[in-house]
Amino acid sequence: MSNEENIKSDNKSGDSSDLPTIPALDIGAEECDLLAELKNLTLKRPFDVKKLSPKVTKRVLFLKDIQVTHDELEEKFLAEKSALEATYDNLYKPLFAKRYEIVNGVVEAEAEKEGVPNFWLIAMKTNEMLANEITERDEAALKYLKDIRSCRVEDTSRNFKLEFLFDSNLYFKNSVLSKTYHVNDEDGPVLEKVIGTDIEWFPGKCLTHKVVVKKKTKKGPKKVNNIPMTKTENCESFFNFFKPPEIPEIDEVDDYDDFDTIMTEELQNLMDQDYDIAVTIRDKLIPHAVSWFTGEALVDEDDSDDNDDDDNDEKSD
Amino acid sequence: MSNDKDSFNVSDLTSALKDEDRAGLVNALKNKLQNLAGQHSDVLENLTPKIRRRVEVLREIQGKHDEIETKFREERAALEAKYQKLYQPLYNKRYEIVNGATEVEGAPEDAKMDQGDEKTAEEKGVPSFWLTALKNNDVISEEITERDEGALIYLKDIKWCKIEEPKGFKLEFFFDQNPYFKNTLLTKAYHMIDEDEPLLEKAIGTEIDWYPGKCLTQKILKKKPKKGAKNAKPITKTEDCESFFNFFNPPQVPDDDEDIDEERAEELQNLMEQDYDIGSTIREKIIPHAVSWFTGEAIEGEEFEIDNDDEDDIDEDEDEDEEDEDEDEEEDDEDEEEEVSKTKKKPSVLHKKGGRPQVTDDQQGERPPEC
Repeated sequence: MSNEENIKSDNKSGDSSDLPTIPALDIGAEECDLLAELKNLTLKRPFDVKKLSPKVTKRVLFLKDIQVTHDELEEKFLAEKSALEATYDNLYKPLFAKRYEIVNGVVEAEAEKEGVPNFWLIAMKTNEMLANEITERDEAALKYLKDIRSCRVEDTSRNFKLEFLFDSNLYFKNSVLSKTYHVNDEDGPVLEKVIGTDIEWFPGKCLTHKVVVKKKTKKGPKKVNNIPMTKTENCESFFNFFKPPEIPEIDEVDDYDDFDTIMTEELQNLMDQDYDIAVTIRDKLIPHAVSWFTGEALVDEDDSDDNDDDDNDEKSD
Repeated sequence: MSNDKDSFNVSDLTSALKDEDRAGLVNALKNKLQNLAGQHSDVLENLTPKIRRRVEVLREIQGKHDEIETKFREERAALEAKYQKLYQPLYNKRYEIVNGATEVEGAPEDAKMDQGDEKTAEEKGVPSFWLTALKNNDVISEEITERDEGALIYLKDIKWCKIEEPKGFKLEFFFDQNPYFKNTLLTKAYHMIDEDEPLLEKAIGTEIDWYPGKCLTQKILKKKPKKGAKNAKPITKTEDCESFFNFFNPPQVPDDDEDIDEERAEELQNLMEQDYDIGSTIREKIIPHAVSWFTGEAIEGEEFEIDNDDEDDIDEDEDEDEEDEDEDEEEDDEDEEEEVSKTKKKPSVLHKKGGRPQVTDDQQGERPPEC
């Protein structure tokens, strides 16, 4: 979305009909005050108040009063909306906490801590978008996923964070992997910053890289330097989600032209995909995890998307 | 409001509003979930009895959540509708002042001034109000050509409303009678795929009845014949050109059976995204804050503004319509709202995504809880 300043000149040769100058004597003290007030109110890009007659000026001021009334109402609306959302967040919390306890076997006083194995892995694989991100190698690590949560950041409704809680596992040290999205509201809803947890992989367990062994077979009398060459290569993995494509800092960009150049189409697409995944997790997976686990969520998807069913054949051990 | 996710019908939702019927609703919910479970039982069949019992408890918890979520959506929709009702008289008043239907308090009535009609017409309402407001917004001004401005000075109101079936919203542009096209109302409707996501399924615009030679979305090119050619008549060719009014002829997704190459698909997706950006900007920014855009104050709120010398002037083009004629127009407008929009019924292949990720308040799901 280009936000370049592209001001079009209003000056048309021969087209503009200048108003006759209003004689100073006709402008009373009241009109002068109105003009001064109007000038002050439009500091940036002020339109030429001289082109407005006193009557039109008065109407514009009246319109501004209406706008102020509207904006006050809008503030109330946004406050009520936030309060409503907070009310329902509090109603959801105990249900999510209960779900967590059952999935992870916290409630039952049994010797074996069984819970519902692979709950989140199965739920994620049932969603087509998320399933596309998960490789076979990822599944072994995702079995340790025990909860996914979302919350708002910095008291701004648009900024949010996703938290993935993991049991102790063989792959990485972190018990929480998080992803934070900062959305800049001022210039339209534009992603400003995306931050992911740095994953501390155990040696040889990194799922976002693979080791490629190049064997050089040298047949000859000398068998010197027979050590095989190894190379580390990036590979597909769900865990690339935590290393998002970087958005150039606005400060580094002189003007919009440079910004557009830096923001290549490919990078834009990567960011779109990344954000789509996050919103899917926040708005679909987290609130309806059980429905995704059992596959019932696909029924709704069928109705709206007309997709074929992807039956989940996952079998628990 | 139909809730696809829970496969509720309207009577179930109605009963949700009464406390005494909560138990009935819960039972209905359980029954529906069990019915749905029959269709996707792969997971359950492979679980041990203990785990299956736990999943059943989880499903009960999910049912409670979905019930609460349904209430949330109802309350949110009611809240939004409540404030739209509160905004409406303000929008009406704005319309009246902008179009000179009523005079503001304190302004003396200048009935039958001695000056000519031209002078009187200049003073009516706030001339070029909507054109100026649109041009002060970066996204919209890029779409407006100099030729368009002649037509847009006749724009006298912009409104939006929600569409329930299918879900989405509609923009309405009200025009005075003008020399360019016959329509007094141009509309643009957006049909969304999902209530909670800004995924566009289809966009439909009014077909504009241009007067002869006045079409702003096309231009006529004349090619001079070669010298000495027997046929001396000049060849004319009609060519598409940039115009704000292309907004009412949005890009359409071809049928499923039509083959569409990847490059074309991507180009089409970008066009649809841009189109949606324009529609969203008008609905969320221009309409609620039109006066602030008109005066330029709305621009101050936007960051990264380039400080250029002011080149914006308010056009004082004359508006020849009389007040009585406006009242007639308002009656015509009501008839026009029955107008059938141009329809191309093609199933959606591409899902529209924001040029940058779209974050729209109205279409957000639940807000995550505060950290």
